[in-house]
Amino acid sequence: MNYKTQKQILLTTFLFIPLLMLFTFLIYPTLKLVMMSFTNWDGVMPDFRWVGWSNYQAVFETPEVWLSLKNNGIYFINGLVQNGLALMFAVILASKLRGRNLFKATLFLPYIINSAAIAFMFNYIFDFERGPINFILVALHLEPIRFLSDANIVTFSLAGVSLWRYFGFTMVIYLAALQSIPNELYESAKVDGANAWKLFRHITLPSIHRIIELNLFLTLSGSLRAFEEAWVMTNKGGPGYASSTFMTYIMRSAFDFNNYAFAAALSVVLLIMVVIATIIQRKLVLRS
Amino acid sequence: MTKKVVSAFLGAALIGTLFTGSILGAPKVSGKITFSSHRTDFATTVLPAIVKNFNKIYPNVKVEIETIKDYQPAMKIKMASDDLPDVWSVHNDYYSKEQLQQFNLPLNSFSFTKDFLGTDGFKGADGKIYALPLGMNTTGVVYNKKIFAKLGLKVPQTLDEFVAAGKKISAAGYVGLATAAKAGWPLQYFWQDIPKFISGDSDVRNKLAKVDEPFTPSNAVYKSYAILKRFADEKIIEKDPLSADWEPMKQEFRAGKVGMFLLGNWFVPQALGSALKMEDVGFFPFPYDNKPGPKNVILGPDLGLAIAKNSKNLPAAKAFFTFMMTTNYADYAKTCGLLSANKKRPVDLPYVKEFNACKPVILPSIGDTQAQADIRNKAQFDYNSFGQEILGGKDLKAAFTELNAKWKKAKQSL
Repeated sequence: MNYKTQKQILLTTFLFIPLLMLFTFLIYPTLKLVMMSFTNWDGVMPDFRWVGWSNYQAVFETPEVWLSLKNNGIYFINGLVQNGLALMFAVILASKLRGRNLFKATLFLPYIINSAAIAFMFNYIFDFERGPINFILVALHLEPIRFLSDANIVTFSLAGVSLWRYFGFTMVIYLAALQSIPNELYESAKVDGANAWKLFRHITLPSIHRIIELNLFLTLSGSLRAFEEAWVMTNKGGPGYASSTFMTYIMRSAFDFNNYAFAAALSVVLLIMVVIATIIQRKLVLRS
Repeated sequence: MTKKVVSAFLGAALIGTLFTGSILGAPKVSGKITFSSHRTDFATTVLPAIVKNFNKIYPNVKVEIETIKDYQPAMKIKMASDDLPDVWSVHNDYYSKEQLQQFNLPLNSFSFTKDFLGTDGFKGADGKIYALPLGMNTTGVVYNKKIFAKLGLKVPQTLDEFVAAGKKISAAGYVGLATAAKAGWPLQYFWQDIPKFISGDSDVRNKLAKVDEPFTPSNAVYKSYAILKRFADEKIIEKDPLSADWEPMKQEFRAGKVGMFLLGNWFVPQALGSALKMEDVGFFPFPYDNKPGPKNVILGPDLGLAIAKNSKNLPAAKAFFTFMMTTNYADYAKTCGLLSANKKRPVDLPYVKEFNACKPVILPSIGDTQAQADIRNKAQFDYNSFGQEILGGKDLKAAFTELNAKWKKAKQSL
């Protein structure tokens, strides 16, 4: 057996199992999902009928879908705020600040706390009658806020929880990127008389522009996939459908209403949306 | 030649006796089965005790108990992947008739099946029974007798008296009527039972399936949610019902801070604790209108128990099922605060005596027709979310106009 054949055999055998797993757990289910979206399967019975595009038609005609999309939009705007804040803190903590390591650790901590514990904790913080925020508001003779029960602000409250949770992670990524910028650039610019804002705009931003693109992609796909906060903290996207996101609506369609095929169509639409949004984002960022 | 025939015959007879032994001898049933329940709070207490009692009769059967938190969706996945537990708890009004028939063993052949009430909702598309109720529930108002005595209140006989009592209790610093609306499901009675009480017709929901836009102001469902809205407007419920979740409100009731809770007899055991004893908790029929006299009530099944058709150990599964539905039936029903569905196994609940003393009119129990359930699922109408929207301040007329449009569309597309 010559070297080339040995190399072939080695590559094939090592790649075989990962590829098999990729096919079994990703490619095959995705293809099945797309197929199911053209049927009326209820998720349980062994039989179903082909219904063509009617599920997709229903997706665009259901008002709750648009409401969920609007809520996802709120998560996205929240994500942009999160990125801005993370970058700001990263810039501050990249400089020689006293105690910066302590701050870095504290700000990153929320990311590693268990999500059930976070849901529990924020249920207390947001509590209408006994939570600390409302307690302070009432003490100041202001109106207490219905964080989780007012249909207009519930998604903002949940997005706030999401910001608190993932902000540290975003910040750490920016920190790592900032530390890769060589100091000489800053020193020579300072010698030329640049102030902090000019330093930021002309040196920092262009150098980490790829990382910003990465974080924006994570924010966008994360906001479209927002699920946990709404599912756990407001009982599946309540009250009513006020805080439902695309993902919670998919879960409810599949399991509460026996409309598995409709949920499959929603999932395919979600996938297409992520792809389109990413393409648009790449074009915008690449141009700058 | 004859010797061979005779010895073969004797050999077959000998082997035959082995088989008859295993059919006649109950203790020979063995193997492993799984039993699933949604009562995660019973996982380490009640359920193992039941298995222990079962093992006294059938020592060779190992019963694995599975309690799952998000029970119903998990069960649907298990159905689809043919992985159902051998004996499993079946929620009422969650599975279609076809689903029940496809995955479960028909139970008509068991000798005790004919003794059971409330089996209508567990029938398959072929009319056979696929699950038997673990108990029966009647919807009513569980109330704190201590608060009533303290404020000098009598059990309300009309809707206006109910609201007045609620106001008095709220004014005294307690919660007049708890709803636990954040959890959604405690509002189910406004869809499931109260329309039946108002119209005196157990079939009132199934009749909705025949009309394109059934929710007019004179419709029983409309009137039922109008009562919910009235409770919110008259401020007899929690200060912020949509942030009141089930477990916290249950604790509030147990601590004696809630006057009334519109649930069922099943709640009373859960309301008892250090603050409230059995004699401090009462139960009366819900006064849904202002006509004096006996009220309509419903007697419906709680969860049912079924045997998976593709169980790998049918003899053991059947043995455990029989045990749960006969020998152990009254015990479990009493622990859960359920009335008995088995005519031969009565359950004595003291608080139901008070309820029955009001001489309520028991309406027959009729399950949902497939037609009505199909329209509801196609319209993606969740009656609990609907109740939450009403409590959130949505206009009643607008909400029902929207629902009518969805209902019509779903009906026409089926």
